[in-house]
Amino acid sequence: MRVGEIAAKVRSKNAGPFWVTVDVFCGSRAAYDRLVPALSTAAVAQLYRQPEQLLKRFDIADLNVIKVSFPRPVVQGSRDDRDMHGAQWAHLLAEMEIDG
Amino acid sequence: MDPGPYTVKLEGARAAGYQTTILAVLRDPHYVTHARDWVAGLTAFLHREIARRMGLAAADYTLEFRLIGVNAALGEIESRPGQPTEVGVLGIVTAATQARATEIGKLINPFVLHHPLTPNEELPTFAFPYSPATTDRGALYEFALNHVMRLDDPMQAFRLQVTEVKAREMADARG
Repeated sequence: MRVGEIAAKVRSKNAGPFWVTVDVFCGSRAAYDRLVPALSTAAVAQLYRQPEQLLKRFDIADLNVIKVSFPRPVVQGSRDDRDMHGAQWAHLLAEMEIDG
Repeated sequence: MDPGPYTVKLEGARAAGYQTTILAVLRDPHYVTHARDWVAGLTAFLHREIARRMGLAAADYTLEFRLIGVNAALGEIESRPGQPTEVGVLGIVTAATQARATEIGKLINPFVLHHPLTPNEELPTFAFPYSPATTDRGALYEFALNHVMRLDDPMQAFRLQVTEVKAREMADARG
């Protein structure tokens, strides 16, 4: 199944000009408990072509949210930036296939 | 808790060149299918033409085409590149001055409209959504400063200039 089929909403945005953050709003405890073990940090790092050690992952049980932040490959607004607000990055994760 | 030294966050941006853009739309299925190859061939051809006609080296400017409908938002990390009906071709020129970016835009304009996929085929004509096809974007700004400054005193790096304005003078100034 895909992450976005289990989660209520997957959203991404800039976290300052140098970082982007992806929020997986699971929507329920059941979805959160399913996604936390199924979502491999290594797979997310590979999806965004980031070294795994640069990824910051926060599993926030109180909010049923999984949050992943990593450095933007290019700084916001610089010549090679394709997405000023980093908002479209979420869809890669929403479309990622996971087991479980 | 030790609050540590008093610090001030410094952020700054600088102009990093000037840009001209061009937009074309491919609908010809032959070109839509081979859009990436077409853009690679066009880019190589234009670098040669810009060097030949303007005498510019590769370091003097950048020229990039993003394929809208294929992977314009995510680039190389796109996991599901499109097989669309049409492809938007967004060309972005960046150079040290607006005049140079504009001139490169004018040079590339007819080739973005007519460049063939292979040398032996009929010259195509793509869709320009408006004319003139190029748009000057002005300056490109990029972050250049992201530092933390330590201060012994909060006002060490700042000056306050206070001007007192009397109510009567303000009324006079307004007329």
